[in-house]
Amino acid sequence: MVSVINSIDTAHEDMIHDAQLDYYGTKLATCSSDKTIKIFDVKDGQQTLINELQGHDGPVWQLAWAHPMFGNLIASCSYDRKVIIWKETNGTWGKLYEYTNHDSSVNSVIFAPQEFGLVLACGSSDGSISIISSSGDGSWTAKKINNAHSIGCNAVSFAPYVSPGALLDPYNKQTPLKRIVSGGCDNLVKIWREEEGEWKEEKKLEGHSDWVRDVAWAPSIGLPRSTIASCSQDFRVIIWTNDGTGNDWSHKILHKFNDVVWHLSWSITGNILACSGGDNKVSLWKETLEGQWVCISDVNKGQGQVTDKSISS
Amino acid sequence: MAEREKVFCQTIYDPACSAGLQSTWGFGNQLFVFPGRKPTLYPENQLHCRRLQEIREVRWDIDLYHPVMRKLVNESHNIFVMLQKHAAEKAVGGSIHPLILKSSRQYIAVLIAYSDELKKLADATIDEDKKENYLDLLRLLKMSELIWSLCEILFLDSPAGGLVITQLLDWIRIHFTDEETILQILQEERPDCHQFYWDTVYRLVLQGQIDHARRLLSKHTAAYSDNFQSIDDLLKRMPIFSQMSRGHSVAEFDMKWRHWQDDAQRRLEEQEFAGNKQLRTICRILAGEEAVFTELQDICGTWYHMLVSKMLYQHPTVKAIDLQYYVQSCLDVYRNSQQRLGELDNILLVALEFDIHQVIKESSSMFSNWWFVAHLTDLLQHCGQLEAHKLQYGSNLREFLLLDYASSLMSNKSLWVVGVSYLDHCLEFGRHYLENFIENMPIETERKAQKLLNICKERNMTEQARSICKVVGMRHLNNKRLGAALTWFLRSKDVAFATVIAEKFLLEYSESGSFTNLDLIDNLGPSMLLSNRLTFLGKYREFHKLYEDGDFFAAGSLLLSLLDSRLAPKEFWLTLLKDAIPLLEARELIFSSSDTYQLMHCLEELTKEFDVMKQKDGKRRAFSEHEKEKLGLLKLGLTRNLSRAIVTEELFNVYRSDRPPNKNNQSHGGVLIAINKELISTEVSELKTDCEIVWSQINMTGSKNLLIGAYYRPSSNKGTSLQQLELSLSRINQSSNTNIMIGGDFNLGHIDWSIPQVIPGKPDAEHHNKLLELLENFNLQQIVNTPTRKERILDLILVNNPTTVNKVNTLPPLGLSDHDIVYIETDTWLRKVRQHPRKILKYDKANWENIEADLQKTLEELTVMNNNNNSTINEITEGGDLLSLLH
Repeated sequence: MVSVINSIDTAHEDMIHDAQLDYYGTKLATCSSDKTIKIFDVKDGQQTLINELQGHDGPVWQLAWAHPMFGNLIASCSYDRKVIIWKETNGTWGKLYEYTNHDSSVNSVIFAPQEFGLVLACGSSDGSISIISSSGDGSWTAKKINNAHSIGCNAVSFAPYVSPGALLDPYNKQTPLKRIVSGGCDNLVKIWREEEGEWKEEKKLEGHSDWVRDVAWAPSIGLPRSTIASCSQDFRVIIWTNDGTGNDWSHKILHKFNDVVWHLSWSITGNILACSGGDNKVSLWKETLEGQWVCISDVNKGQGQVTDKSISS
Repeated sequence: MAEREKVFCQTIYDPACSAGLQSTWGFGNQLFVFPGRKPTLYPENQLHCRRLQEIREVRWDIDLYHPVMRKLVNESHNIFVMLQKHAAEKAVGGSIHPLILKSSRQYIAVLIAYSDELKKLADATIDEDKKENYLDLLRLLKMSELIWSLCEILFLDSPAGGLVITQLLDWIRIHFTDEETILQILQEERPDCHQFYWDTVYRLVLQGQIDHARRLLSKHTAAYSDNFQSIDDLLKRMPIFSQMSRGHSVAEFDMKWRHWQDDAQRRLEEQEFAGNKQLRTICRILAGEEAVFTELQDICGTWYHMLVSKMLYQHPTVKAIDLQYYVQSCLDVYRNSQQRLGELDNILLVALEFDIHQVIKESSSMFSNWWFVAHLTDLLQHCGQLEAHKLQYGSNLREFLLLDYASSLMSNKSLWVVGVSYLDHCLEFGRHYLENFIENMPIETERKAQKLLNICKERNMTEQARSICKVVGMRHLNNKRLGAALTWFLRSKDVAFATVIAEKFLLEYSESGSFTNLDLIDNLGPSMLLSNRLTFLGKYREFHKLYEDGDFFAAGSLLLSLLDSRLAPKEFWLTLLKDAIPLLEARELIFSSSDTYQLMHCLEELTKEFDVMKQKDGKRRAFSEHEKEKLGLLKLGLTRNLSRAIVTEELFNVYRSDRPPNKNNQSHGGVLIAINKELISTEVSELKTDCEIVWSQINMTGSKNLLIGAYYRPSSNKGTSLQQLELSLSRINQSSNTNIMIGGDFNLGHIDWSIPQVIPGKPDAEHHNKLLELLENFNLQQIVNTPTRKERILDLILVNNPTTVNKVNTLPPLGLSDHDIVYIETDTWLRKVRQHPRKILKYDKANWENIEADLQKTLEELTVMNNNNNSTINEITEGGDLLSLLH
């Protein structure tokens, strides 16, 4: 049974592009074409607007919360080519850092697993990806992967903090690699790895036939394998898996939808994938024991009654 | 598996957006859904929709969050845990079958208990929506119970010989109870006139409730007629398997049954009940006639009731495994009626077909929560049913379902603890799931953090525990609750943050002069060793406590060890040294001479460092006026303490000439020389004359000897004292190669030593001139050129070899004296004395009683001397060795 528990009136004056819950799911940050970011308290079914952040000069595309050990931090990216990191001190939000080294709209921003420290990555329509890190004393350094995706990079996602092989061999204490996955207008999904301070392309995943709209690296649930989901304007969602031993990725098409799939996200335990897109549906997908991906729930937006129907597939 | 899943669909009416839909995950089964889309390359102005933008919170699998269901979850959890525990114990040997059966019964009992509760609640409430909600849940529980009971009969409770009819009858009776109707009928004046009289009798017979049926029949007005008696006789004699089971074989029962049924058929054929249609129907049932069941289909109500009834009268010895062959005929009866086969029927059907896999599959799509399948599968797993059926999932099906069940509990703010326990019993993935959940568990309160920590601790999840502590600690730190923050950082053994907090505490202290969170700092215990700074904080606080308690010695030695071990941060040295001031001024001697040297050394180091810093970076802070004043005080305190220590510690040979006792027979002063025992010294008594004077000689191999004298001239003396001094000096062998040095209070202040000449117009010129004459005669020079008492130079030092003197200084007076101390450094020795090892007194091992007694004694002596005479101490230091003159 799926039910709508609450609805939150965001009072954004234009389209919402992203909504992100903080680490604990108690605060919801939203961003919109109206250039603002709003933060809501969503504890115990209550929603209250706590703050409104203004500072971008264009539509704000995406948001990311940092791990709470760094305090309350939000990173936002916008059409105005900027990435802004906002920090809350005593209930008021202010700009902590502004990154302006992109030549076009910044489409995606994401924080690295907290074990790597305060690090974030962003992808831009200028085709490059920036990895920005804080040394902790207030100074920030940035590394740039130029020409990561020709025409533009639409999405970036960090790999979880697990060293390859660490699960098979718990005594293997080597530091996990920093890895990110990105998707772009060259129809490609690319995996990048940091080696001696430099970012290198580790793998190019070909499978989509149109712009890749979103990529999401699944949280680790104790398996040695890595899983990445990508969605595209070719209406398809692809699940890429690597068994953790080599550099080979196999792929499986999760589903071909009826419209562009805009957005993907994994549940906390990495076993359910939420896909949403232009067909006005949010569907949840789960992998069965046999490795099949099946839809377990979906939420429709449109005119209609609350229905509860059984579909045998 | 694919078809096992059922797709639930929820539609939201909101024309706000045609552009698309987005979603973001909450915690557990929670999703936020909102209209909108990812960025396009250029903002599309035509898409602007200026209407309210709403975000919707969507949840699923939440019926377990209902208050009644929460209780059910908790109670079944206990059963679950108990079963896992016993199963683990029994796994070594022995049968766990009785246990499984017991657990199964407990689950059913729980289902029944909460069905009753829901029913009561539904009856009690007038709110329609609530009532509907209660009834929904009630239906759910009823259905669970029905399926569960059948599964228990078929899969768990395998009766002797596989005969199941008794259990099946029980199953039917519980779910199709007529008790209320029976009572109603019995209360009627004429029970047989009740509209349901016969229906009830039929049903009782169909359910094998023979005693009840006979009771009802006996209330009939015609109960004593022949045909009633005949039926009663038949019913009474009906063989019941369970009663026979002991000591009788199935074959015996079968024989008995056939015999009895033959009797029934015979009576039917003989038209015994021709006059009474109802009794005839009963007899037809007893005879197991096929057609009668179809006639009574409305009374059976469901195909499975009919199945059981038919079995009772047609195949009482049917085996569980064979039931499926009789199902179809019952289904056919109901096929044409309006009832369609529902999900429930399907589940029961597949259960009867012994397709356990299918039962689980169908059940998980029928129930909107995982409670039923997770627990049932667990039971089946334990009794080996799943392996026996060679499911393609293997042993993982149980875990797969338990994980889903646990996950659905994790997003509830009270059930998550139960979820944790279930995850514990998922050997393969449970731990990883738990790690992921714990990391993201909202920490609203300290108590919850504590709870989470305990969970991590029990499971050895250090990473997660650290993360929790860090987060809570940071929260406190941001809210300026240092104490609470420190507690959390200590818990996570976070060195960096513990250091930061310790520093903040220290800063707070140096700003305000007091500590907050004393309790915490006082009880740090071994955890203070986490970081140096923290250790220092703890120790420093210990110092304060010792000081407050008046244990100055322990306080002093702790203070010293903090400085000496370099545990104290440099920025804090000044504070520590300032703290030493009251100890230096204490009545008792706290710091030994070597301690004092150490303190002096630290002070020196600190001062130098400040100078260096100032030169390097003009912006760095220099000592403030207040600090300078404190440093002055400190220097004074150190000097005074040193002299006290020197005297007390008997590190010196002391040569003295005491003034004769006064008329009250009190000793009151005199002169003395103290010479470090490292140097070989002797008193030179032949130089003693009739004045207050004492001489000693230090013998140096390969160098001139040093002759040191201490002298005092009372101001009232009319000349004899200087003559005696002259006599004494004259006895020195002038030809011997000796450095002479004599100091003391001459009480002759009217000499301008720069010339040197007596200042004209001043009293007592005679004695002043005599002194100058003496100097000339014995080739001595006076080297003190700064006033020692007020503006006059009363304390003089006479030497025969002034070039050896490097430095002459005055230091502030000691004790009650109004004379400054005269301090000189000389280079008398050509050969440097080997530096001896520094001595650090282990005060904690000392015989304190003796030391105290000794100190007390010495102190008394000193006090007496000081009180009776205005004494000064003149010190002469020499490459670390020290001489002291006192008169």
